[in-house]
Amino acid sequence: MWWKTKFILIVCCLTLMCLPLLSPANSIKAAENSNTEGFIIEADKVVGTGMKASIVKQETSTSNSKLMLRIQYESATIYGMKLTKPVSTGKGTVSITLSANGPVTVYGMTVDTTAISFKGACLKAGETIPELGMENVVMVAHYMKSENSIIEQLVLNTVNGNAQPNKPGQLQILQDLAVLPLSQLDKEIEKMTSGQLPLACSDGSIQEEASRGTGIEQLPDGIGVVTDPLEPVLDPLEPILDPVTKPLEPILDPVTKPLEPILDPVTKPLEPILEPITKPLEPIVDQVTKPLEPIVSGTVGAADQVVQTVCTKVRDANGVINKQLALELMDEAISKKIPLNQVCQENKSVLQMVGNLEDSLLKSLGMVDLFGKILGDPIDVLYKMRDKVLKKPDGAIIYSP
Amino acid sequence: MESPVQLVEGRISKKVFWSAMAAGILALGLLLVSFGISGVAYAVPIAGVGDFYVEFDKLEGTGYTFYPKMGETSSSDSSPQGTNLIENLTITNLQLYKDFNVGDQWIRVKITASKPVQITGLQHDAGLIEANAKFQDLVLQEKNSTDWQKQFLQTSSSIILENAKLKTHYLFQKTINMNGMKLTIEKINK
Repeated sequence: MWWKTKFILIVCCLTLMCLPLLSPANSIKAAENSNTEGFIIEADKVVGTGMKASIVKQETSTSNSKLMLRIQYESATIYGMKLTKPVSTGKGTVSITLSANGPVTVYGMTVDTTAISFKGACLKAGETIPELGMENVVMVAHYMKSENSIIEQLVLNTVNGNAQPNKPGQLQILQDLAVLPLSQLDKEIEKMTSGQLPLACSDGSIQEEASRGTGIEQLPDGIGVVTDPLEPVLDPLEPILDPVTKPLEPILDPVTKPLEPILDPVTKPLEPILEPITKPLEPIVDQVTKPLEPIVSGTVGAADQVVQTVCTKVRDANGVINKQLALELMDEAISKKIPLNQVCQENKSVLQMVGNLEDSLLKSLGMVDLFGKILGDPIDVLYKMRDKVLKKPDGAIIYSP
Repeated sequence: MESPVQLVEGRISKKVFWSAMAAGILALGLLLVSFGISGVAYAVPIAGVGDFYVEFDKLEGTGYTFYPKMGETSSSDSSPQGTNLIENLTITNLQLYKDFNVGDQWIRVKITASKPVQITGLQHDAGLIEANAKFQDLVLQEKNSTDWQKQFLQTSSSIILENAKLKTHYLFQKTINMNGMKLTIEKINK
């Protein structure tokens, strides 16, 4: 029968078409997506002001709306911050890591998280805490916003593989709220906010308190059901101490005679130790009869002397100019507002050495064109050269003939 | 015996030749002058040379977006990277360089700009960014999407990077105004 064969063929084809839907790859992909959901924020320490916690709904990479704990800071400084975001691409997982080797200062920060672990104060719904410090913070965040962020020594890196650390467990309060029907959920969140109930603590114990406050009660684990009634206590307790029947013997003898005086009474006045001053003191310093000789001579030519000293130093060093000497030359040029190669004009050999120093610095800064002409304002160029030399270690040789 | 081939002497119309030459020179001159006055180049990509480094003292930009991508590098067809988009920016003391191993020596091809560089429509694919950073209205967020490149997004209304070093794989600018540009090739110790 031709139609039976055709029917079997169609059924077989449909089954084969549906097979990929049941393949383990889909479940692996789903698990991978779940594992890469959220970005992990780690911090050694967070110190902030104006902290407030609340419950909100927020979008994630796999859900349009998920319950989250929202933490808001008016301002905060984060030390040892590292952010890791794993992304499941078609060719495996890659990780984006954003870390700061210096402190991170943020103003008007909001973070929405589903899981958090930390050491420090409790976070209560709707309560504003003027100052709050948290340590060893690890959270799974899905949204982060800040009005102003200053990140010192930022390193943004993209690498192969999943580099995310161990995630903290999801907040119990969020798990409890997630099972509630939508109509009740908003009421519970409002109730928690108005009651300023604890949302998360470093030891996690307050979460149970929060659950009780909202009516989402949970039986404590590890306590069995009480089935047997307690037996009544009939026998009176036996006394451990014998009753006191006779008075205690005194340990100290009574004081019967007055105390003997140790010091003799003072009967005559004390003798004076210092003799009265009867004659005036002799002057120690002779009167100044002649005017003081001038210590500092006139300042005319002082600047020239400094230049002479700097140029002499260059000459004495046979043209080997170290960091300190280069800075002195540049300071002199800046103060006189002249190019560096005009500082030591008196001595031709030194002039040549300083000129060579200037040329090498200009070339390294890329401040000279093909024809040897300085690009930009000469004084600005001097400051740039000075900045470059300042970055060198102390004692470093800047120029050697 | 007369040669079977007769030489025909050609004549050039001087009027047509010089007028065509003058028109060509004028057009080229106008192009160069306009480029020289504005100093603006349009739709400039830098790609196909493998990874290279971008360093600068300061970058100030507006309209910043970051998202992950997989892209080609000099050593791999598909390597994890991050795409940085900045709408408008100015870079001070820009340096781009790439090191090449020639025999047993290393040479560095470097492009520098002594004056601030103004760019619009920047796309910059980087594997590593090191800098001191300041952001305004910084947002890091997840999006519910089947496209993995849209699942994580970082945006800010303004961005400032200082003392930056970026390992770059691809660079594209809609327009770039690069005055004081210089190309150098130098031997380096590595």
